[in-house]
Amino acid sequence: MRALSKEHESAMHRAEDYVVELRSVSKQYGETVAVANVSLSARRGELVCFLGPSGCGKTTTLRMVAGFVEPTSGMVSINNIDMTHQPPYRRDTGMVFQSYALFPHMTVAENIAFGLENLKWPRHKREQRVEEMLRLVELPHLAQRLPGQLSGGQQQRIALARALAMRPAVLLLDEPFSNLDAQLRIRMREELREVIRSVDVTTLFVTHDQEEALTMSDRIVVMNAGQVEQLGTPGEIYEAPATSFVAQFIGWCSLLRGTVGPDGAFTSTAGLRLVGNWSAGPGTAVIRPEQIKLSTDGAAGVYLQARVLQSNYYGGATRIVLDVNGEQLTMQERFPFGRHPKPGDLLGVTINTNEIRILPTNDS
Amino acid sequence: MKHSVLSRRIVNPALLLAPMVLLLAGFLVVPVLGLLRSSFLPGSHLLEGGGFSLQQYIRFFSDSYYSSVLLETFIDGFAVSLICLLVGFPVGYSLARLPPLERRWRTIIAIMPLTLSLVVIVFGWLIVLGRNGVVNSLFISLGIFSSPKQFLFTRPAVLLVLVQQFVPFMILSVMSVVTQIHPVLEQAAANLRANRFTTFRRIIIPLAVPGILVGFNLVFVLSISAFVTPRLVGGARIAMLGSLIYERIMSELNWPSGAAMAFVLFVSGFGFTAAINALIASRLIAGGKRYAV
Repeated sequence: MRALSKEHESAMHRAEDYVVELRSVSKQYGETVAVANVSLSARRGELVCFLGPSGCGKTTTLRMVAGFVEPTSGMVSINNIDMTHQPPYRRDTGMVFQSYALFPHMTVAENIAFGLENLKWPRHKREQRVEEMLRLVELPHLAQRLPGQLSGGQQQRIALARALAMRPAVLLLDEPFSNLDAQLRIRMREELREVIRSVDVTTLFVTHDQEEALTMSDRIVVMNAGQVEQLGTPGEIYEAPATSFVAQFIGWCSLLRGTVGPDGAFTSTAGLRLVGNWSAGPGTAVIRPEQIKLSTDGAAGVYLQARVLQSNYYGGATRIVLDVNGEQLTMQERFPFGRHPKPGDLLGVTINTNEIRILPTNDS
Repeated sequence: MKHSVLSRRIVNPALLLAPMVLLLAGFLVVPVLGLLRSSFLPGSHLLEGGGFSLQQYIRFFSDSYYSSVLLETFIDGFAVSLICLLVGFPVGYSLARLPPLERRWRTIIAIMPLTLSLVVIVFGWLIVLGRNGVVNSLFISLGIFSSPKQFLFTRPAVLLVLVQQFVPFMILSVMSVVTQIHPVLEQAAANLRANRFTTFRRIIIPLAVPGILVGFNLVFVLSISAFVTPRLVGGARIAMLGSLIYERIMSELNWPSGAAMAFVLFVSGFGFTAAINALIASRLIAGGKRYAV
């Protein structure tokens, strides 16, 4: 039965023509499992992000696609050709390294042309392509500079131009923004997304920054301890987290342990009761800050009395940790003119129970 | 930042250099100037009085024997440096790519020959290469030679022993420069479709040039000035300038002539290495140190 469905699945894959495919890829270093059973299929032009804390195996997975790490088991294919045991230079990938890895002794133009030379492009086509790529990243005036003379943002754009010059089937980005300061990071993020869209290249992308993942990706692979926790669109990952790890890792949330009774209402271990229509059994409620509102009447949801434990002003809004019937909940609200509540204050809040998800308790 | 401010305030760099400068001035510059002076003495003895003459230099350059020995010395020095590079580069490179802990004891093994006395090494080679030596008896017992071959007192033997002596310098220079080349550059090259040979030729070699030059210069200078090895392994038939100078001064006590030869070797050796450096540096690393790895 299982074998049959697997076969059916692979037949479907072939029909779909994925640009990159990982099939149950694992990597072990001795006893340590770095990556366990990762599967992914990315379509042409799709931007897929590997998101997770450091050491979760996301970079190892990317390096297995590039060919720097050989999987212990499983299969990596690019354009429907098995590449699992091919060296990096036979794979149709272009990679932007975390440190950019520009060749310090070559000019910007020579860096970009390097891949084309190895692909035996004739000189005039190379020169044309280098110019085209410099225009794409809007740095045509830097062609004759050495990498050491460029700023971090410029180096990153050149690294991108160098990777894309070869028209690779897959673009690989390893934490491309981690060496940039916060403001530049957001600008480069938008720029990079635009460039990727304009050349329509399938992109795999590694980050530990959930905001980067949510804003840039078509799909996100959330990884933890070498395992895939969830694979889905940014909306699915945020709105419908599959595990409590995903819920906590993406955005802020409060997790309440408890049980759903036969009437469909959730009661937390400390005794906070949320009326709803969930399926019965032990579970964990995921409550996002935006699902809790200040209110005076209980019109839209459950009305509760809450005591302020902590109150932190973030500029646009204030993040408040509340004690509600013995449970801690985090909410976010805007209090104009700095009149935000202080610890000890009592507030009336409404919890929008329609949007709350209860995860069945079987994960840790 | 904080560190550099501190060090600037507390220690004056000139003060740090002072002991070295004094030592070199007293025990190197002064004696060398004395030697330079004696190379302009007429006659064949140091104590034969004063005077100034170019006689020693004129004799050196008018006798084709000396110029042929000088040329031979340079060719040998160049050959030894080149062989050391070919042998030492792979070793230095692979040491540099090992994790630091594993690198440590392998490096110690690589530089072990430097801790041995040169005389011990040379006598060791005399035993190995002699008519009844290890090599000859091995080849004869294997039936490859029917009678012992002459290895000692040949030029290849001199080159072999010089290479063995000086290859650690090349290994160390190459290793120190390759540790500065981040392995991610090799991965980037592989990602840009460069196979291992192309990566080596286009990325590793150009970035390793500073270390290669240091090693090459060290080995070259040490080789052209060597005198123990050419004398003992090469014997009287294989003349290198170093052993000629040694004989002129120590056996014939002809200081003026020996001093003149020493200065010819010094100036031409310095000129040769400077020319090589300028040539390679300008061709391979455009603009010298414009980049930082």
